[in-house]
Amino acid sequence: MKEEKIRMAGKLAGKVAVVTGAGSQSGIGMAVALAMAAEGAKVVVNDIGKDPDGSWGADRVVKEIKSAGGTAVANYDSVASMKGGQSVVNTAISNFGRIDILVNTAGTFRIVPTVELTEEEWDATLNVHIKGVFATTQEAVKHMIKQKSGGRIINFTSMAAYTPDLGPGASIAYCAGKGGVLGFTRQLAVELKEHGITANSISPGAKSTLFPYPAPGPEFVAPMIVYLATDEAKDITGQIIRIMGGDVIVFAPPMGEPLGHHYLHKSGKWTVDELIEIMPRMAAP
Amino acid sequence: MAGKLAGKVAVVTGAGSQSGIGQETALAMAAEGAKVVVNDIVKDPDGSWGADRVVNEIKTANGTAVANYDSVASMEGGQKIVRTAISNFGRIDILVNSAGNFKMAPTVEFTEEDWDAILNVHLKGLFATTQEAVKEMIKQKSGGRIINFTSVAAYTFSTGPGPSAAYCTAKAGILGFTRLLAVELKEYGITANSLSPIATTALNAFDPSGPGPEYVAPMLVYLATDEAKDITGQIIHIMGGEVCVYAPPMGTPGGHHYLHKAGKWTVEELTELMPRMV
Repeated sequence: MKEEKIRMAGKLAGKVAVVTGAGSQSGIGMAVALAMAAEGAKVVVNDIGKDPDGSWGADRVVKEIKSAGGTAVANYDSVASMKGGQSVVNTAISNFGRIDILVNTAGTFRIVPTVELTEEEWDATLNVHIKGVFATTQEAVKHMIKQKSGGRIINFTSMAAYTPDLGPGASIAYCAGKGGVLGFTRQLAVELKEHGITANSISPGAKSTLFPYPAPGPEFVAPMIVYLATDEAKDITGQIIRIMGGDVIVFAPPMGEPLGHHYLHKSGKWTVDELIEIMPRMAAP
Repeated sequence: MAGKLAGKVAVVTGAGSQSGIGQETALAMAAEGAKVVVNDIVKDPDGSWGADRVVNEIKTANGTAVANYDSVASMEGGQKIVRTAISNFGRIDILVNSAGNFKMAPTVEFTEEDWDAILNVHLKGLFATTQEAVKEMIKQKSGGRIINFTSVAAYTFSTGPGPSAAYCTAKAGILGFTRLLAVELKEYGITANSLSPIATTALNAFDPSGPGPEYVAPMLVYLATDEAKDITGQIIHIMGGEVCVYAPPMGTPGGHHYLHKAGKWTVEELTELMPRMV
């Protein structure tokens, strides 16, 4: 960013972006906010987090954007309530007059066994990952439909949503939240197609704030988010896109294809005895 | 009495609706010898509890059952449902989370109240009953069965009449929840599976001529038997005579597109390659 000049005729020139959870040092949200600003977007940098010195992380990112000649404004609301989510989006409207791109990066993560998970932690996780996505998205979509110039919704899911191979594990709350994001985004893509608004799920693998594991950094993820926000990506919608380092995987509509599953038909009701016979062969471990 | 589920105790949530999958499951499990907690908050048109009707039907057929009327949509409600099994039958072996609600509305018109109502029943309700049941099952040291209900709405575009984003969110959340549960509980011999049924039911009366919930019940009974001890973490679709076991979603190289580069992709490169990948 520092060595990169803000391109006034950048790929996102004239567009307004909201990035939630964009204030954490070395997080994916921050990398996205910087990359979008570098391409000419005006950016709302949202985060509830503070740096070790007690100042807002969002302020640091806004400063970095401005010192590179870009445009940004900070917001510190939590997405975990309808009011908070609405206020994040309305920061874009009141400062920049519109919203074209919403990137829902905000998230929380902890590994907890199911029997020890408290109601408070369940609620906190689901409120950020699911209610927060609903809150910001609903408000953003209302504006995008009014603006009649399309829009981009980019949500963050996780391998935890769709594979048992979780590496370091997760909690059922996190898996429910990230799984929920997939269903939400897919339905949104169908519903908003007529308005030219795309909705995609990103499943990133990166060394980041939530996952400080050895992996390529969030700077590998940012170009994909920028791409999805460009006019060129207007037909890419309802997709689940995995990116980790130089790996890009676009998943087929999960489980909707005859490819990866086993299928049997009978013209009548299966009996329990028949199922005892067939199921072990169908459900390979 | 020497049925496939003899000696086992089952809890079935949302099992009091007339012609629902839950009711069909409770009846089928009782017929195989399970003692059943029949849970539902709904009442029949005459004002009596639906759960009472199902319990009566089970008892008339010489089965054992007890009714419970709590809502799964709070931790306390979910816990009480499971405790009903413990206090009446001393244990719990099988938990079937079939309670659900449904609402169609465009995302921009969806109210916070409706959003919360859908998510509380489907996700928090699942957490509440499952956590309480799993605690008991681990203590009992004899395995267990958790069966959750997802929907085609969770994973496909072609969802017929178009559900709400809230319903899709909830049903997809159940997939992630159940899959991790299966991994976590393997060491205790507790299985967890997602069932994706299509049947003409209380929740979904769009196609009155479609196959009914009686087609779904044998699969639930099967998953609850000792024979199904190695079937876990699966997503099983059943509609009439169709059975479809989905491979771990999206984890296989079959249905996706993959590219690798030894370095960071540029936006220009992605603009070039992405339209060909989707």
